[in-house]
Amino acid sequence: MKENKHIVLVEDDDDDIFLLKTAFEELNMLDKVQLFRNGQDALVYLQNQSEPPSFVISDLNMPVMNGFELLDELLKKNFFVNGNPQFVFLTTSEKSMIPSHSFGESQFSFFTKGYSYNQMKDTLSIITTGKA
Amino acid sequence: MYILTKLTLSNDLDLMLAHKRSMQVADYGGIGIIQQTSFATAVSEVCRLMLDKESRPCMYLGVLKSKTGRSCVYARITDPRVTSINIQNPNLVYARKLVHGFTVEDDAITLICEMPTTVRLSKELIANGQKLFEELPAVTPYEEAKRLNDQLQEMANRLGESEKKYQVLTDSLPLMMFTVRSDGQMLFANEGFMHFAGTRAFEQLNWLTWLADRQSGISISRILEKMKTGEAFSLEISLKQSLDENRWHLLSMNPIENPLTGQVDWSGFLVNIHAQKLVEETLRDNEELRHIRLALETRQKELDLTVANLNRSNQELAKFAYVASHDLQEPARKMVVFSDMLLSKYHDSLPADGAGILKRIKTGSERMVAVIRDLLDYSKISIDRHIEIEPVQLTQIVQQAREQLEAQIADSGAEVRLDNDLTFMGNKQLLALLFQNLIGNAIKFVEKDIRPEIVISAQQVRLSELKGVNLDPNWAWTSISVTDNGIGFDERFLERIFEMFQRLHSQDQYKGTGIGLAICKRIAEMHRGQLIARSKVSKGSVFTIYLPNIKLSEH
Repeated sequence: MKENKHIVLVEDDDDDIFLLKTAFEELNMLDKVQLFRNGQDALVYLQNQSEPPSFVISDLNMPVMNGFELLDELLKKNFFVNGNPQFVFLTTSEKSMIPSHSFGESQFSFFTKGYSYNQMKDTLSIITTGKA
Repeated sequence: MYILTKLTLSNDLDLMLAHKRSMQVADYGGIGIIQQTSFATAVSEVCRLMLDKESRPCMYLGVLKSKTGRSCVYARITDPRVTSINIQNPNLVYARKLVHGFTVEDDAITLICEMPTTVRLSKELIANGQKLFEELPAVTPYEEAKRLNDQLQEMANRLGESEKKYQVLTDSLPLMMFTVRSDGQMLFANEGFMHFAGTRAFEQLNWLTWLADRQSGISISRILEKMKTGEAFSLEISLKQSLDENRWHLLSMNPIENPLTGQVDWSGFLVNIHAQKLVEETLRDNEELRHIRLALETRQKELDLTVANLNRSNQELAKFAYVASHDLQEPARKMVVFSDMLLSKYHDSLPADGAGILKRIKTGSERMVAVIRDLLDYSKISIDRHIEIEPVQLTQIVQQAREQLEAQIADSGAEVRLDNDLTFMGNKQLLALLFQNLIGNAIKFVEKDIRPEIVISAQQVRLSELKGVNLDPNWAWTSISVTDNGIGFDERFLERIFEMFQRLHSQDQYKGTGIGLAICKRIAEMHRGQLIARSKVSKGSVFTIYLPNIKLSEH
């Protein structure tokens, strides 16, 4: 596990951005978070980085390019090296909404945003550090 | 020569007749009485001579124009044996003297008597003479008897001939012909009738009785009525041909007056028109069938249209519910999250009653989220009628439901036990949703401080068990039951619990949306199965889903 964890956050919903930023702030990780409002912006950024981030945490439903399409593009461009970065879907949708057979289970993680702030903060902690 | 009358001579009595006729012909020729007698005497002398030769001479009486242009009457007696007569016979010589002309040929002797010069031999004279002698009344009883006898004999011959022709003709016709009296007594029947009636003794039949026995379809009284009018008529009637075979016939009746009795007899015929009738009926039936088929097709089209409209409107409704609930989900979730965030982060700085109000907001929002989530589930299963069916493992399904219910199971300490595993045909996602709802209910509806115990078991259903639940016995069935130790319910509400938004408890007792069991029932139906509940108040409930072990073809 790298010391300097870089996180690419892809999210279009202002309320969720507010919640996630608050949670990251409380987890002292806000300075590591780079925010993009859709998959396209994130893709452009990621392709121009010399070093990949540790995590890509993405919503599913977004304008221009959604979460599946982003993952699909990254897979096509062989962006992942030794399982890095870890690709995480963080969404209100159910897991069953992901088109079956599109991706292997090993290529992404899946978390729901949940119905409480503390639950969401715990989820982010688990994603980034492996513990709540 | 113009013949006015002729006579065959066979005996002496005929000689008298020859004399009389000669007198009459001469009289018609305007010849005086003395000359008449001479002519008649001469003729009868010659006839007598001929008769003596035992032959049957023939005598012709008539008028002619002589070579000198004089109008005469003549008598010509023909006989092939004339040559054997002695010309010098005194009687013959005598006769020769009595007439104006006397000619002997090989086969005939002709006697001529001149008429007065005032009489002209006109066409009228000849024609009237022929007519006169034809109608001449009998001169003797013998002649009368002979004439009548001849006529009778000829008529009898002709009648016999005609009758034979009629019988042959009527017998050869493919119809029944008959003559009956008004009272039904049969007077005549042809071969066709006798064949149909099955008897040759038609004289013993009463036609009306016979008809009443044989016909069906119209009443015999109608025929009697028609006969009473005395006018020709025809009717279509059905006649029994054999025990159970009826054949349509056309009955045609014509009245004929019987000259002997003065009564009206009936001459009629019956002709088989069954084939024609059948064709008529078939055509009519066909026509009706075509009308019915057209009506059916029209109705079918209307129905198809209605179904299509209904489907479309249902789909639109389901889509609307899906979109509405999906879009409502996010803002509702935010209300829950932010009120939760406010409560947890600023709990200490909030006044107690303020925190209470905030909790109410949070509770209300949570309920809203629950309703929206269930509606979303329900609309999802309503949009798509086509479901993917594959072999599914009960363990897998229950595990999936368990994951979804992780928090509730943890909070309540519920025990969810799977008695046995089984693989059957179904849709994974839908069945997981079904068990999630059933297990969720079992956890929710328990007495306070009771640990929920849920047992799930599955088995192949025996045919004998199917009676109570009305399942198709041609299919193999799997039943999976979820048994709990909850509060149960009164079976009076069996119907109601599966209806949308129907609840048996208030929100402060047990929270819920009233959608869960409606979803379960719908899922069972989408599998062409059934969901059955058994329960008693405070004794727990058993929910059993029956699923057919078939690959479902859609619709």
